[in-house]
Amino acid sequence: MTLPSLPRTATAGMLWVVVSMATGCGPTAGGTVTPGTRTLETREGADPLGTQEGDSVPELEKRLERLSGEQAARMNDAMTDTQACHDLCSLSASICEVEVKLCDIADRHPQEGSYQELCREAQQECREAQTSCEECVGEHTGNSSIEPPVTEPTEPGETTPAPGS
Amino acid sequence: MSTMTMPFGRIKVAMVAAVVGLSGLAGCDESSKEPGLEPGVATQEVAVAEARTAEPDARLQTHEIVASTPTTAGLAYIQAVAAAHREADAQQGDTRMATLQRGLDLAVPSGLPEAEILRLELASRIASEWIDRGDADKARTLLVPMLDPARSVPLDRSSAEALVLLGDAATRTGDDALAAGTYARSIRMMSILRQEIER
Repeated sequence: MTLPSLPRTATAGMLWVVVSMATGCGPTAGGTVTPGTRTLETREGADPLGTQEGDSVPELEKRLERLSGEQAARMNDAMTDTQACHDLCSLSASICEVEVKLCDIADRHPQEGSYQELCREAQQECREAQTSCEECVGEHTGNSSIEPPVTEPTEPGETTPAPGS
Repeated sequence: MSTMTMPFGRIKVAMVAAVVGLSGLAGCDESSKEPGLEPGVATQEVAVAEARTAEPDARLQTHEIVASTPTTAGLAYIQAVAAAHREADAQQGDTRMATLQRGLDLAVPSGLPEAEILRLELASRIASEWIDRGDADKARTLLVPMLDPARSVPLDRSSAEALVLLGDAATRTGDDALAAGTYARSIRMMSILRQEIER
């Protein structure tokens, strides 16, 4: 005997009824539930968290659409964070490169306070920018596309050749 | 946001130049003229030496560029600048410089604040070419008026890049005061941009 071809959801529904009857579970015990949409219950054998969403095609389509939207939003957030980290680290690298150039000039004017002050300020900015970059990368560990800059701030009085010179 | 540093260096240079200039006039007397010294040379040397010992001017005033509603003229300007960049990408040497310069010379339509950034980008590209060719003086001449410490510059990475280029040009022309002040301004600009990202 050949069973008539049924839609997958219809087959699943029939199986569901059979299993429910066999196990004595009520209709609310199964199905897919969405976490976070039901209050937490701690008693043994509590229902799964969330609300019953059903397994019919329209319901599944609706759920797929919602989950796809959520995934896109999360991907967007992650990409925004990654871009922010990239920008921070890029700025950090640039700040520290210019700091080296500035302090190189200041080294030629050891007796002039204004040059030394600008150099110190630049070193401080470089350190802060590097910390900012490293913290951002630390928060997104595992993202290999972001790397902190390698430029190190110079010590006062130390002469460092400008990058590219 | 802005950091004020009195531009004593420049005033001092101007005063010295004036004094030396007057001395030069006095030196027009044939009897006081040193043999082998061309008129004006001493003045230039003293002015350059003074500039090298001037105080760096690290004042930074910034303003944010708020995106405008594009008008037909504004859109045409943006497209023309983009075309100039595209053409320049495919060119080399003087032809490339001429194309970039044409882009910079385009009349800016009113109500397009973004044009300030576009012009800085074009100027930076031209300045970079000049520096690469060993003609840092021209780069400096181009950038100095656009990045004068007395005027506000757009809070944008393009300004920071232009400032770094001006610093590079000043370094190559031996003007340590301009280089140090300009590098310091670029670092401050980038720090502000960094803090904006962190918010």
